Amino acid sequence: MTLLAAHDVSVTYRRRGGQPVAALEGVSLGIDPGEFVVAVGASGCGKTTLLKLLAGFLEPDQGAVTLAGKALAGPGRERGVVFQDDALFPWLSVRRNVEFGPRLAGLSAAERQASCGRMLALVGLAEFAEHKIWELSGGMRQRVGLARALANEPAILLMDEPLGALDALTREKMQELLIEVWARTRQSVFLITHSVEEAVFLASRIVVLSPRPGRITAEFPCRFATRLLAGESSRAIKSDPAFIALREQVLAAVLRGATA
Amino acid sequence: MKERALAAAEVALPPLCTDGASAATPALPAGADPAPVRRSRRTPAGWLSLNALRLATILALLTLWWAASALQLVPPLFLPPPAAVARQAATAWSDGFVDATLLQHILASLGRVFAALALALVTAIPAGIAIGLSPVARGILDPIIEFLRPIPPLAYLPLIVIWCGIGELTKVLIILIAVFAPVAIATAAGVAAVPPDRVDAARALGASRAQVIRLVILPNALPAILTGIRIGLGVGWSTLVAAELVAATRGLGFMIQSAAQFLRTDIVVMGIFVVALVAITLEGLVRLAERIFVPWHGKL
Repeated sequence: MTLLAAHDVSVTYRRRGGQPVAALEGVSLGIDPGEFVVAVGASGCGKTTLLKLLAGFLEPDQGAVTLAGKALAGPGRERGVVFQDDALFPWLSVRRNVEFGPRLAGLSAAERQASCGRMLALVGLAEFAEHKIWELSGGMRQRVGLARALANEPAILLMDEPLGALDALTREKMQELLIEVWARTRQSVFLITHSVEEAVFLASRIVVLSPRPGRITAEFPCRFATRLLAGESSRAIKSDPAFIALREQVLAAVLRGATA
Repeated sequence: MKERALAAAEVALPPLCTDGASAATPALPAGADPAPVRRSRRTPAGWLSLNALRLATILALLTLWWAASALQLVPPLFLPPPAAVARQAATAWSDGFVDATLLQHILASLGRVFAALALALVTAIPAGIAIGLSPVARGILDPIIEFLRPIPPLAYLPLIVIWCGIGELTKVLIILIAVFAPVAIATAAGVAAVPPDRVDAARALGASRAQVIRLVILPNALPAILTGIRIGLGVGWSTLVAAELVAATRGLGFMIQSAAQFLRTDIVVMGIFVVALVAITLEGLVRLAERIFVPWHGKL
């Protein structure tokens, strides 16, 4: 059964004195349990709008978003969200950031501590629990954001260009971490990126969005992540001819949409 | 972005009372990448020469003052010598002036300013939060604040006296009116400047609207609120002399007024110095509070 789905959704932004902009038009997308869906497209193709709809931050002008068959009512703890600029709370320590969701859910201190410890270990920050947010690098902050979203044990993770602001080396490590976390937690993931290579590397399914109006123009099944889990290095995977061929195919689809 | 612009402005114009601690970089844990150092201009050498210049300016002015009065270039009635002013400070401290010691005058003035500040905190901060959160509240409160903000305290002083008499209430109200606007405006700006992603993050983690306000918007606005308090304290303190024109029997403003009536210029000048010293101390205390309560400010 489909976990999270957008049914024929449209969103139009109306700016005062300007032409209305169709951010999304007639987009349908279903995410099944355990899937790693990556949306890729040029900037302005409505990727972030689609993620905001799925997260419940935004309501569609037309169409509907459903979670396990039921219509969404705003954001909820079963959908964890990771933001491009970490969106952490700098007045709280790393631990208190990660415990934010469990605390709201009324978990006991012992339960919170256990889950926080687990999540920080998962993202490799076990010894940074008591650190301040501003003492961490960008990559570490992004991992705290991931741990914070995971601490609520959501059914699905929604990630808005989580690696967009990171340097190339950190980005590569974070890609591997995301695949490991996905495999270990067996969570569904919806991630948006503008990097085609990242999409091909991470996804179990790629959806290509085209701008103005934002529409899904192509879908590709994908399975390179399983090869990383089988022990192959990410450099080897990314230089594999099969990887390069799919990357070019997806890139062509992105470019076709961008110029159409 | 607004926060960053503010921080940048503070770097460009260091306040007079900045001390060494704010220039020190926080210790980093092993393994953590250092956050970008924004105050790179304040190298130890640069900081030293800046403070040396400040000290030199103060010493030069004092020397000039001393020379002018020692050579009798200006009659002591207009410019009392530094030694006379210092002597008056000591006398006022031990024996008092017009029925109260210097400390009692200071405490009377501080009491009024802090009473006004306390009232401002319980009125202006909620008002600022309401303005920042709700367009309706903004529509209602904006004209009131924009009307009050630019009026000099001496202009509304007579009206407050007619309304509230010549008691302590009037003095505190005059200061409160001056303090209200900066605190409310700074709070509103801090509340409105909360990054939407932080609010969304809290909502996605299960926070209700009330929890978002309490757990995200308020802590996020705390640096701005403290800035508002700092500005408000400055404004409140400078309104003091006006407030103490009204039938006061104690307070620094009253002390200066009385001394002026007896042409005791040495006490007037001493009073001015005490007012300035207290203002600098208050500013330093709020900056200390900023370092303690909002250590993250300007670092993210």
